[in-house]
Amino acid sequence: MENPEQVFNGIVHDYAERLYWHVRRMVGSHEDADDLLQDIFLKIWSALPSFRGEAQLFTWVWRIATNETLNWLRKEKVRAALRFASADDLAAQKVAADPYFNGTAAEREIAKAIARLPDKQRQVFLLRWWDELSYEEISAITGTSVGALKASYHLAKEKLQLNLSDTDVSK
Amino acid sequence: MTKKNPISVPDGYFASLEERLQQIPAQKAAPRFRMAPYLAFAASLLALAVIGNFILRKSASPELSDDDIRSYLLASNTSVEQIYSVIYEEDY
Repeated sequence: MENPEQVFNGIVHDYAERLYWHVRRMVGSHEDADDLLQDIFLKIWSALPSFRGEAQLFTWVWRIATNETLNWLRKEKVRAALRFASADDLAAQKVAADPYFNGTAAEREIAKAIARLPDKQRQVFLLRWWDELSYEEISAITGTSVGALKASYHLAKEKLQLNLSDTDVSK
Repeated sequence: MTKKNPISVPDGYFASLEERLQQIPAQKAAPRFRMAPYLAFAASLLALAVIGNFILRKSASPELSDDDIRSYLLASNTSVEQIYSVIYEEDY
């Protein structure tokens, strides 16, 4: 039987990179994603004894990651409010100023529009569109019904198309 | 919308990330398995009973010094022989 450290190292090996990309798209900058990923894996390590195997390891790990990310974004909103700024605008500014962004101007516009989506809609949109998870998998991770997820995804797409309607990138 | 990853990471980032994350167990104490709530409750009750019993015993039988005992015996009508037998635990 594997000891907790071996299980944890296996999780790091299997999920760190994929989770990084998800978190990076959620928070908008490499530095924030790096910090948040450290917190997520600390949480995974401390919660490992409570993993009883009822859920798939994949679902359990992603659930912790998405919850931690939403918590981080909530705190970011408070921090932004204390500076009399909008968190959505700050997220878009981070995308605009990201030194590791190698895409075209149109791709930057898409990334900024995604950053302006409400947190939960952005989460659902990214899990479905970028990470290509099924609605059933997203439902198991977020605890939201498949119907509500489909509605959320549809709304997110509509908002993106509306925000990008002035550019050529929505086609 | 086309789907192409337009963001990148610093060179060698993922190798160093994995290495850093795998140091977490060494930095943090090994996770302990949580006690079931009913066991934690029973343990709390037991601890409370032991501590309560200790406090009650202490208050019911306070420690007396030899001087206290001598003073009590001298003030009472106890004979010298009896006092000696109590102090020195010898029969006179």
